[in-house]
Amino acid sequence: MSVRRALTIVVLLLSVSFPFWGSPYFVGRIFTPALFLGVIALSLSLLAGFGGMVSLAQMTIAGLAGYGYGYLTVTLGQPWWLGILGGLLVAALAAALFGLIAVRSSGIYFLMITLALGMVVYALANQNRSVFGGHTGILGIRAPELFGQSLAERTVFYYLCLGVGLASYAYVRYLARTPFGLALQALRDEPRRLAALGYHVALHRVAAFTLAGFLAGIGGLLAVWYNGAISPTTIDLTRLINVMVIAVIGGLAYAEGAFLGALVFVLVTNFASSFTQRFNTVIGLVFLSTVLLSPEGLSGLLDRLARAVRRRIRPGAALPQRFPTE
Amino acid sequence: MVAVESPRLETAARALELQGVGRRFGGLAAVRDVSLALEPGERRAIIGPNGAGKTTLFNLVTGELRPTAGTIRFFGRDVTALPPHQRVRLGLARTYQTPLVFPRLTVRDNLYLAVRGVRPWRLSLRAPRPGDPEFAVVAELAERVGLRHALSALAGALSHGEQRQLEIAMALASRPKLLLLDEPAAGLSPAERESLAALLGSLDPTMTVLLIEHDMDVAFQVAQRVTVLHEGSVIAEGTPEAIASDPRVRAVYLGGTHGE
Repeated sequence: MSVRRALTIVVLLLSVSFPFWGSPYFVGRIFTPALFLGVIALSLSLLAGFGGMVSLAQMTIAGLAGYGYGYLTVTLGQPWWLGILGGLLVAALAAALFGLIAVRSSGIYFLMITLALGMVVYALANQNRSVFGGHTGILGIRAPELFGQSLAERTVFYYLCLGVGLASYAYVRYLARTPFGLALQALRDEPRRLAALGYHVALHRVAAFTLAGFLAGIGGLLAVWYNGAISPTTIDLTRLINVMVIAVIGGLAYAEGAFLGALVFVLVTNFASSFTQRFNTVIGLVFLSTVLLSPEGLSGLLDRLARAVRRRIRPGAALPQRFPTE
Repeated sequence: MVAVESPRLETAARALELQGVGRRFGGLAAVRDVSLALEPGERRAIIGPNGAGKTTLFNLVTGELRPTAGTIRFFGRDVTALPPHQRVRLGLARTYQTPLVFPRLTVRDNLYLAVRGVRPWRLSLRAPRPGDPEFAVVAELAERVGLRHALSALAGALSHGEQRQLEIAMALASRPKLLLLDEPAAGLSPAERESLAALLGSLDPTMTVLLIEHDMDVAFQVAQRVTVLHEGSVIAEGTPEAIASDPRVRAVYLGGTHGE
């Protein structure tokens, strides 16, 4: 049995049994937010790790799903399922539009365009009262109720987030093997070559951006159910950058990195704030040391550890070839 | 001037026809007023010293660059304004001077993407299964270029010569009507050059091949006709024998680095 598989089973067992032995605080306030933040960060890992597109707008897209759900269910009084459909539709459409605007640029310019788009939505949300609720946002947003049971109840909500997190993770790993995912990895490295094979590179980038936006939208719905409200603060500059910090700490090239990074992020923000006002400084230091010591993030670090263990167990065993840097 | 053309049958049309094609980069005319016609099935080499505009001409044919003058026809169809991916789908494939493959994907996935590229549902969200018909084509292509043993290796781990072979297989995967090879022999060992020549010799005789060569020896081995490009213009065209004895061509190459 590989180290990886053993680790996967341990993580699965621990996370599924967690509400039975973990403290309510950890279940509700640490792991639950880590899971939905992880889903939002995963949408960035998908774009950046596979597609080479580093987007700062993922939290904006997640927030738009939350606004869509809030507007439909609270402002218009529609049922929750319509809110979910509408929220996801808004996220996917916004992502497609962002994609159309941003995909012809790359690298730092792509980053800046997505940041600018995020700031435009932030300003819009702050000023528009009729849909976005202005500075206050939309209050009193409630999670769906199924069979008289609110999904917002702590344990139920934990399992909902865990299920969504695992499904998103499994889907992104699956996607990497599909023609869509292969072409995405191909255009990250040699877009000219991919075009010379008959692929429409710009269109594929837009499609990937839309798909990632849909994923961010799912995370955004969980977040708005957790918070019970949404306001422009949810999609301000700091929150946008937080997604990037989470994905980089975890390891941009790894799907599991998004969740690992989110867990570290939530732990640090919760515990650092209990002994210092400057928890952003602590996060900054964690970020800096990750980038300096393990550019591949915590997942990269774990990957290297696992290989070292394997070499110790079976000297001379071939090195696995997952995302080699050279 | 309006040229009124009678509709041409595809079979009667030239495989590739360039009329007065030019490309300027600011004040520099990299390619000027090039007219060229390839019959279906023809093997043509373009030779010329460094900076003659050979690769620029290739990029104009594949659509990676837009010409600033002239028209390009592919089997009678005007493709001057078509983007590269659409020209590929019409049957125009190429290789690059420096092999361009996807280094972090396996040889199998490189070929798989190449096979899927000209087929519908190229961006399918369903993972391929080992029994899918594409993999039979992938295996056949790998066999043909001698990379069957390396299917699971990362393309970035292959040698320069193997990457070249992989790239040719990727170009063949689209079953092109016109194959453009940009200096296929560059950087290959003598043994690799031999297997390359054998591979090019084994191509479907109805496939039209246009290759750039720096090296006259290789060009003359493969091509039936040779076009000589110098400073962006065509200065001679003819059979290899005629070109080899052409005084203008000799003048261009005189004192060149390829006298051997």
